[in-house]
Amino acid sequence: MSSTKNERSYKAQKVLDRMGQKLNRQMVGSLTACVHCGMCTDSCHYVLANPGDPTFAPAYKADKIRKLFKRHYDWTGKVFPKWVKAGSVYTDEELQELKDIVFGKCTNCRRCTVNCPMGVDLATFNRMARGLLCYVGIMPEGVEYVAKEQWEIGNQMGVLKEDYIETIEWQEEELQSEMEDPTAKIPIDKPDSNIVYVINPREIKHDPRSVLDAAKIFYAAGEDYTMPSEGWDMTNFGLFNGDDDLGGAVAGRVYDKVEELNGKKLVISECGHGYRSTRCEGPNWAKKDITFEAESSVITMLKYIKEGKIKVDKSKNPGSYTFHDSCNNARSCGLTEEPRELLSLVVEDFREMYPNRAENYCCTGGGGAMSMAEYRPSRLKSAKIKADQLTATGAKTVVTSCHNCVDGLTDLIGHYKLGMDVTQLVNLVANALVIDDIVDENKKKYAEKEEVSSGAAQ
Amino acid sequence: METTNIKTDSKETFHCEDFLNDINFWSIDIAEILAKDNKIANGLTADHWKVIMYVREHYLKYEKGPAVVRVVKDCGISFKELCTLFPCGLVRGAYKVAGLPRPPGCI
Amino acid sequence: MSNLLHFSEHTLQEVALVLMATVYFLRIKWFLKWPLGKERQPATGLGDTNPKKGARYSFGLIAKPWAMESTRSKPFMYAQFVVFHLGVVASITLSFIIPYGPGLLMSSTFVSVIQVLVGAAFIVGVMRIIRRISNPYIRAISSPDDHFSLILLTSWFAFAFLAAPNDISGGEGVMLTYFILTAFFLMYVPFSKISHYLYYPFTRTYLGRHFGRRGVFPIRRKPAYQVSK
Repeated sequence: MSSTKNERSYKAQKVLDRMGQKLNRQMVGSLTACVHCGMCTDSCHYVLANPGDPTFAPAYKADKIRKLFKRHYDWTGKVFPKWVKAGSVYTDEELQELKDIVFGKCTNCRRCTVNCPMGVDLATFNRMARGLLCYVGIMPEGVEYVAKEQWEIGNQMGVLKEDYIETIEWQEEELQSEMEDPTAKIPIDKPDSNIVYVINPREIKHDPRSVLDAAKIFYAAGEDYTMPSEGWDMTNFGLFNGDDDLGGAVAGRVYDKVEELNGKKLVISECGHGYRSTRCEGPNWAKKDITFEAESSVITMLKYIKEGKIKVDKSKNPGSYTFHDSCNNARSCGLTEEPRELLSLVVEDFREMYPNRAENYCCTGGGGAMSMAEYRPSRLKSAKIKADQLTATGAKTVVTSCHNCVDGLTDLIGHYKLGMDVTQLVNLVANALVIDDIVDENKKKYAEKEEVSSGAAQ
Repeated sequence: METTNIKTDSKETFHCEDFLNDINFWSIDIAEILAKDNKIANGLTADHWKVIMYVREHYLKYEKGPAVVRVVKDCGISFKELCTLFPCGLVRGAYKVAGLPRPPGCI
Repeated sequence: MSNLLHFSEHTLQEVALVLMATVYFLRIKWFLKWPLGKERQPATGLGDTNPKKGARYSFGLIAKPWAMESTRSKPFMYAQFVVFHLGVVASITLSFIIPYGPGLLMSSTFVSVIQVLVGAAFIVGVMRIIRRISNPYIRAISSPDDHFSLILLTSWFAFAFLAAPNDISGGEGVMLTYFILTAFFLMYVPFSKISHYLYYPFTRTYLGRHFGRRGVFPIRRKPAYQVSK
């Protein structure tokens, strides 16, 4: 419902009221501390890909949210709003414009945050702004759809439980075939396991090879693990849409299942935002203290190799590889060295891209951007920076520990015709596994058993 | 990736990544063109069509594409065969050629 | 010295300082009233990272221009930042020395040091004014407060340079202007972006604790994982 300038629309009023409830001291610090020095400007891939357009500058985008805070919650902005560029929002159209900024011009990658001399964290209050807009039903259609699926069906791709179970059973058959072991299992809901392994719905809905690859690694390591029948989706749209309730509900389902199964450790498959949401942010959203350990599957695989539980042969992964640090893994969770070490163990030709680690550029698919079709042209334009980074490495394959990045990178590689492949560490580790002796032994064991049982039958 | 030689009326026919915006716009000719643009070099065979029609029926019934396990089990093909038929994968390959709109979220 | 100059060197400054301190006190009270976002989860950072270390690292980043891409890639900008802020310290010091320790200004070396610092800061101020007006990115993010604060400080540096010798033989105009500007500056600061230094300890600590908890700060370069026993 629109309104005139002095009359505020219902939604605009709700947004302003809720802002006061959602602000915490850290956000207020970020909102008050910006000195408009512009040091963050060059850190943003949107700015670099749109030279001459200041509307992409992090401080410019931040000020669209900051002006509301200054006008309604700060001091000078209440009395002399124009002096400090404070301003309000009155109409639904203005809220739509804000939506285009907070969803369409920022992937919450935090590159500006780590480059700000004052420590202003745009991603945090940008997320808050997203949450305010979602609260009044203003968000990209794709975000609404996916969030709804995750609320109602329990995973962000609406995969039904029977399809999930059938996929696991199917991959179990594949595992048995590859390992020549008819007793090989991908246990579902096994209580008291050492590891409860949770995944991205993409691995069930679209491409289950990573499920099989993980199963092969667990099998070779002799791991006592299980996959849960519910609460298996470690992704979390609450991180993207700013809805702490959704974030808490989704993370809570995972935690509840781990506790129900009495699992000792939660292992999260390769996903940047999933790792961050489930391991780092989930307990805050769900208001729940978790008693079990949680780790990324990257660490699990690395430990297996270091402890000698699995053997790998890097010559099985020929070709050249580079590594893309996902924003949520690198800039929000500090997971930079371990994926590199793991990659060095399973490929021969690893080439760094620059900048890397916490200074890496966003794949442009983060922050839920892959579900926002309306911003795709702008997103792909900003991906030029990433495309140049990839090209400069000369590598044939880019490796990443994040499903969103797989999607974002695949998209930009197609768009810029880079001719590169995208893969994840689990695929490379599984491919590099030295398991011939295990397979041969299984062949022998089960051939003998079959002989014995067919002999007994006669 | 350019989708060539498809006549459109005035409305926006193609969604992002050249998925169709509207499944009803799809036709056999369009499927052939989409296939060529998605690494299916030698035209659509009977095996391709089995998957394409399954995917279409699923979408028209449930308003979303089928999970890969459904495609594999109900069409009676292996995952390897599916990847050979659609080198770009289930979504960027089969869904796209079947005329489905791009699924929201990451694919 | 005239009564007016005496008043502006002493009473006016003291009143301005008290007002500034009072507003700052209220401002910090207001800031601390906002609830602190809690972190429930245990520190998940790998290796030698934890919230305390993260906070210390974050706080010290401003003294390590090589550690952040923005300062590393713009060393000249960083140098300007250092010069500008040294000028602020010098000018504030001068505003206390003139009324309460004028003997120090008998040393021409001391006066020269102050003049070099505020003079260099003045030049940086002018460069920054030009940048703020001419650079389309910086212009787009600037408010009237940003422009005014910069012009105020740059003018203040100019008058500090002229006031440093503490010589009123040629007239009291420079000294009066300097002290009126100082008093105005002290009273304006809490309501403007110049008060950013008040928030600096908080924002850097909060961000540092946040990143330290998650293993991002301090930056580490060695893999870390615990091998099972």
